[in-house]
Amino acid sequence: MLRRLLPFSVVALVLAMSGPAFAHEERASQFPSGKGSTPTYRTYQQAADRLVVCKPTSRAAIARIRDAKLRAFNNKLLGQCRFQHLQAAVDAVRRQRTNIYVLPGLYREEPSWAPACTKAYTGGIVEYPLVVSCGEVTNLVTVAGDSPQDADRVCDNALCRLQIEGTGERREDVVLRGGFTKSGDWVKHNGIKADRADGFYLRNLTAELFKENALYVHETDGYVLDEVNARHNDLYGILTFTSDHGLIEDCDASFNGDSGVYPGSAADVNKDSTVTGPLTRYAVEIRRCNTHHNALGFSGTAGNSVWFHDNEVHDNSAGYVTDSFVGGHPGMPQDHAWLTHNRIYRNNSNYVERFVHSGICARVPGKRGYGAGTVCPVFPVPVGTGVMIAGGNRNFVDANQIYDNWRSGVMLFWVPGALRDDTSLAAQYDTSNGNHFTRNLLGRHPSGVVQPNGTDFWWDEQGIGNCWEGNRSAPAAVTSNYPLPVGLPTCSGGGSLLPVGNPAKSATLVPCARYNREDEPDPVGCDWFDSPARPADRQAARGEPPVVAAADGWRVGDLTGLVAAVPPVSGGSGPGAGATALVGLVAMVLIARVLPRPLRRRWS
Amino acid sequence: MRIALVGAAALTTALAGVAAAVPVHTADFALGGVTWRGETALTSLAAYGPRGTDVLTYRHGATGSLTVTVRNTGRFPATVTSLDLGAERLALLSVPSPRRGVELAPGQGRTFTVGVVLGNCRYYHEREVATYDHLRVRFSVIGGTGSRDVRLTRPIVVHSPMIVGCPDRKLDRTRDNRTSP
Repeated sequence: MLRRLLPFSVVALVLAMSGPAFAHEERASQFPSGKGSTPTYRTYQQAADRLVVCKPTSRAAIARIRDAKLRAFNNKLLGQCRFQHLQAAVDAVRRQRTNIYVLPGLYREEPSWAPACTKAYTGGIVEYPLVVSCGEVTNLVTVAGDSPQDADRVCDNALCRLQIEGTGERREDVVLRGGFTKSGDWVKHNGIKADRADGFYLRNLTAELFKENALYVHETDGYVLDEVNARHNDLYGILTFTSDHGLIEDCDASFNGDSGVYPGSAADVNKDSTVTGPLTRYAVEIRRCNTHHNALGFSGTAGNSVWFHDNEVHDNSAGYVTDSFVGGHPGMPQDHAWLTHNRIYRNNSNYVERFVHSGICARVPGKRGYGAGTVCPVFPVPVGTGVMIAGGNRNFVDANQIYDNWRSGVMLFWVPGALRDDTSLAAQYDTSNGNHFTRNLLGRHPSGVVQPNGTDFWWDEQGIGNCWEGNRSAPAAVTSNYPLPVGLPTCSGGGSLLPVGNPAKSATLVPCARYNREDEPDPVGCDWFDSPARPADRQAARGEPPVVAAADGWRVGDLTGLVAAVPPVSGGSGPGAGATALVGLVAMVLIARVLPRPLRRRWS
Repeated sequence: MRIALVGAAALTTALAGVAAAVPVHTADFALGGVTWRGETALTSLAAYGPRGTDVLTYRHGATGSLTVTVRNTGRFPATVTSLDLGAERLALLSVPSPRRGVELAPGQGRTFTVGVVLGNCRYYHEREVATYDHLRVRFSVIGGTGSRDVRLTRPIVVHSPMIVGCPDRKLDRTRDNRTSP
């Protein structure tokens, strides 16, 4: 009890040393001005200029398009095709508001693999001037909108408001693939990187098999990622960083070693708001996405002002994760995400156990089975968790369906500022305040059958103004780890009152944060990678794949089990590449047919 | 002469046996709280975790010193020969191992200061923390030598920096794998 009377028991033995804002994996980054806007889709007629990219195989692929109107449009574009590589078309853009059409085909972008300008790169930080002069050091396709001749960070060249659109019937008809070199290493870190490229609009294509991110938007004010598929990457499917006015919709993100969708350091547009939500302005809206079979379905260090709604988040190790744990991210601590009307379920896939502890992830990348279901997690999360807020403020988790997550439906815990290099006294208790969890339906499949979470709500009892109200569960009451019989603090009662949590529950992440895929795959004292047991009263839903023994949390119907024997997708050259590619193609077809595709397509 | 040599050998063997039989397991130590002086910050969080947590901010190349009291809680006089954090290979927080020969009588405590270098971030992921939960005390006691891992009052946690804060790190992490160099 004494600890509750001593809310500020922090002693900073040496004063804080403030540092610059560092970017995710790369250079120091800043938020854009926020004066931009989310771009809208631009038709062929509305474009200032049009460029067309195709492959020799495009003609045959177009012939297979069933929709006559779309087929005719593709044939018209085929006659205008002047580029075989997307980067070549990007380099040829001369006017803002240009549309680039990418006809059906597989794009490997071979000229970007190892141009002469990459020879001097030794693997360190990629500063913006290098992105402009030689983006190929990390990117298969680079869209850099800011002239490096001036000191600002403003999009000002012909690549502003660029629209890139795949023209296939399905987004999988246009594939941008990184893949592997003959030695088994990754060809590229990133697929498409839009850097200071305000107004960037990407639509209807697939990007896969990259060392870091399939789609990467950085320091950009105004962007849309529409009907994209981002899969089989070592880190992220979609990563946005220090960007604003974003819309990510109708996406599919799967089999990524970190998260499917990551809007990290999203512009902190509501940092001064004392309202939890809903608010009128968000930095990024993410809707109707299907993010599944990743280590994390969604994540966002400093994932600020994210409006996340009407998404499917399932079969990941953990569903939605946001945190203030990693230093060097602008916009700390995390605040003001709004999660509503999502289905967050069955996030029990234990990829660490299956692929890291088994040694598969220690192989050279090309031999790990990426493209055939392998996921090599790089970030530790508690397997079996629906939503995890590790040091966030004023997040509004309202009216979601959260079920069948065998450890916890929702976890909320404190992260002191010192862990993100903020050693000021005030920063030690500046997270896990003002979060509201309301009107969620827990432990029940939409069909009505009972599919409980291990515990509906897990909380370390820290923070002020956190509250839980109007949540429903089945078949009994909402469950939590809160010890007091009065139950979790309610919103109408003002929420939680004490800044200091329960020491026995806090710091739960510290032993697990020692996790390192290569060197420390099973940290002592960490139980996050132990598969949680299947709840005894779980009922099977109609049409659902059967669940195997709870011991490993793996489902017979998982795609990974189905295609685990399929060799990885190769780099596409060298002896045997044809056969490997064929097998890989079979795997891709299986993926396309087996996985749910809940997203409706829109052709305008 | 031959008898003398055999006798000397026997005596040596006997003495060696005595030395080997020294009950080094009876040497025990306890630690006081850690204090830190250096170019970066140590933040003590008393309520974070069951024992509290000390968080040391990583600045690449920074140095500092940890001061801790070591008390001999065993039954025999012991000479502390070195202290380190008992960390893994290429630890984020490396402690140059000073050879100190400081004798502690049973029940006696002395303050030791050990240097620290923050120098290995290239081998750590930017999301990764290193936790130092104990101090390894190497000692000699009645002619035998040994070491004890003695638990720190609070664990020391160090968070690896982002790549921008770690000039030696490469984007290709396999080159920085600390099991391979």
